[in-house]
Amino acid sequence: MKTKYLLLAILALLPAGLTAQSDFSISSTYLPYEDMILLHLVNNTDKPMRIRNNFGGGTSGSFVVFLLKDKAGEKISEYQAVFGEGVNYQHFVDISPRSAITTKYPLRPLTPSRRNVSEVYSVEASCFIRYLISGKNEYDYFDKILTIDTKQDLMIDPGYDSQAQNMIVFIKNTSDYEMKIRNSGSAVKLGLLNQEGTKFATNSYPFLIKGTGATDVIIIAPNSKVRLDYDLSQLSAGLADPSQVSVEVKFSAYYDIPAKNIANAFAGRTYTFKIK
Amino acid sequence: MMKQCISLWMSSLSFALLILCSCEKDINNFEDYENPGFHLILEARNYFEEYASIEMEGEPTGLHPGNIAPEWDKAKVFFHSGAMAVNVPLITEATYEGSFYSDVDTTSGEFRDTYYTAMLQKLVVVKNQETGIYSCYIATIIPSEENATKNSSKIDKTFYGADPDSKFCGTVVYSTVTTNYTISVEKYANGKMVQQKSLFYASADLNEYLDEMSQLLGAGRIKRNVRSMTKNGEYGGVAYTIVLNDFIFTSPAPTPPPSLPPPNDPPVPEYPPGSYPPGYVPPTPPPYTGGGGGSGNQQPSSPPILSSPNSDYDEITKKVNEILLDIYEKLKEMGIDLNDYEIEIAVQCTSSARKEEDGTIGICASFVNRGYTLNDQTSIIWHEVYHVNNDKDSSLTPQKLPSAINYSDIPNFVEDFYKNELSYSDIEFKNEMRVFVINDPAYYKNEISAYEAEMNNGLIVSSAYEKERKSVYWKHQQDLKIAEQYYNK
Repeated sequence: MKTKYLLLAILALLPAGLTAQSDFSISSTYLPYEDMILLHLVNNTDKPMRIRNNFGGGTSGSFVVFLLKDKAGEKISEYQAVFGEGVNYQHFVDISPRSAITTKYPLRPLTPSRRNVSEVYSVEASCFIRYLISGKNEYDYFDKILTIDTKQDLMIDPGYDSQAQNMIVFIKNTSDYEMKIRNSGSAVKLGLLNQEGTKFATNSYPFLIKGTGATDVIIIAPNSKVRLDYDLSQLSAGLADPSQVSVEVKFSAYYDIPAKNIANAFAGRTYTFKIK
Repeated sequence: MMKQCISLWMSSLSFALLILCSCEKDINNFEDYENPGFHLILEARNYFEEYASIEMEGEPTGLHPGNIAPEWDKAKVFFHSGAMAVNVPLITEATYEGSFYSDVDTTSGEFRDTYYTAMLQKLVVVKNQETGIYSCYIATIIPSEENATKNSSKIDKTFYGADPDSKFCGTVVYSTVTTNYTISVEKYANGKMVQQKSLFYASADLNEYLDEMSQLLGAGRIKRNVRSMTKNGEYGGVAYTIVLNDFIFTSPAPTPPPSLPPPNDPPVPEYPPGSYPPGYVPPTPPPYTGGGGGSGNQQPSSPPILSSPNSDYDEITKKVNEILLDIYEKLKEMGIDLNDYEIEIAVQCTSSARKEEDGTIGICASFVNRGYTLNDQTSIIWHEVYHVNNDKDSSLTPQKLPSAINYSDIPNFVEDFYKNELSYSDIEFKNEMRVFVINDPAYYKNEISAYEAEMNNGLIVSSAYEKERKSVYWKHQQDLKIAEQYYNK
């Protein structure tokens, strides 16, 4: 009987809770190549919204506490921060109706100076938000814990040597297990862009390991990398002024890590460089 | 192929005549003899020749210069931060040139444009003046894009290890002489060290750290030109060239190489975890050069210079660095040496400065953007130093209160501060005086102690900052009462 009443009470309260929370929402993104956490604060209402930031520490106003964790899930450190676009402190952050703002948190300064960013495997972001919807007399309160995975098993590190007109790409397996890259789906797609950013030519390559060429499966040992080499000396052939042309490279990698039960996972990266 | 046997003393014999002639000339030169630097060079030379008589076997890797002949008569001595460095030009069997990425995002590792330049290698013998311990390095000097040259001799005077007035722009790689282990990669802009990866400050993961060093160098394609030796023991033209396709830094093999330089039993310094075991690394780090530096490598006699966490924070970092000298001097008068503390630029802070959990002092955007006076800023840093020295452990993760609690008996000065100084509206002020979550009481106790001490530190601060800290102090007192009632209850 007790359970029945409890369920009824929960059901009765649920719509109210949902209504209150739907005015505002928060989500996160992690940019592995920039070691950057992004928090997106969304105003879901049709009215302007104001976030009041914490001032001077303590717990008034809005703030986020990042709890950095290592591989074993143990705490590395905590870091309290506020919200806002740009790098300067804002007492109030205004969000237009049906809009969002994004706050950037580079992971390096969040990490203790004697620890390496690569030691951070996940971040728990406890968000405490005080927001005011225009026309109301009271700030609303919202809290949420976001879990942010800061490790990507497959990292793509491209570089272009304009002297040799050679693109070198390192594909890194950052996991502790053997990785198999499916070359059939994986690709390196090149697009030539003019000064206006319009694509006027494209080309596509498989993953080519220096010395061995393209193989169906590329196996990368745990915590290792393979090097791909692309001779792009022909790219500038026929171009009136190669210095005005940019190359946009889109890498798509599909991989398996059997020991982690990861199958056909995807990692991508876009990289742009000038031919000359 | 380059000879497998890298025998430095053999090369010395090859050039014996040339070098002895030079020395003889030096010793007979009264002016040089009177120059105190001459004795220091002789001392350094004695050390080096004993050290270099250790014969090493092995395939040359990375940026190994091959056989070398130091030109002691052209050596220059510099002093910096408690170290003496003797910079010695080298005649090397191998010379290097290559392409370098001129715009490397070290965070993402993304390479952009490249430029091509010759490189120059010289010997740097460094002596810790306090301990008297010597070490020596091959410094590979790579000019920046603006100073790129095909003529390596043009690089010679651009960089000297430990030169306090250096204007060098580019990168310097320090490697051990016989074992060719990469010890440090330093990037300089106008003589200031702006980035450094040194095994003396290495992270736990050594291989990863070597990767980071490699990224900081940003090498594209490196060419090793190996010169042929003429019958009279001098190097002639290029005998052959090798392209280092997979240019990597070199680290110690799992089995230890022969013991490194005399003294045979040097005092074992404390190395951070993950760095080379004692005995692999020279006991004295490469010398400090120029006027700048990143965290962890400050000079004892000048203020720390902070590096920007990323390009978004460059302007703030510049502003902070501009005032840090004045703050450093003021704090020194108060008996505080800022070099005793780790300091960095902090991001998205709730305040103008903060003490991080590991004891680092974080300086925030508000520190330079809120119109504080120099005394305000000095007092703020004083406050953080107090935290570092006195804080008890506390957690930053708050606990939710059963229901929101409003502060009571709010003094007029608090209302005045929020409404007039911070322009809070009535609604905003009312809500500011209400808490939903609360921290560990220890957190508030630490803050209250630091504010009480700061308010008695003798610095005359601006009335605006006086109002701010009085209001924040009052709030922490109210929060402590709530925390003691509800936290962990």
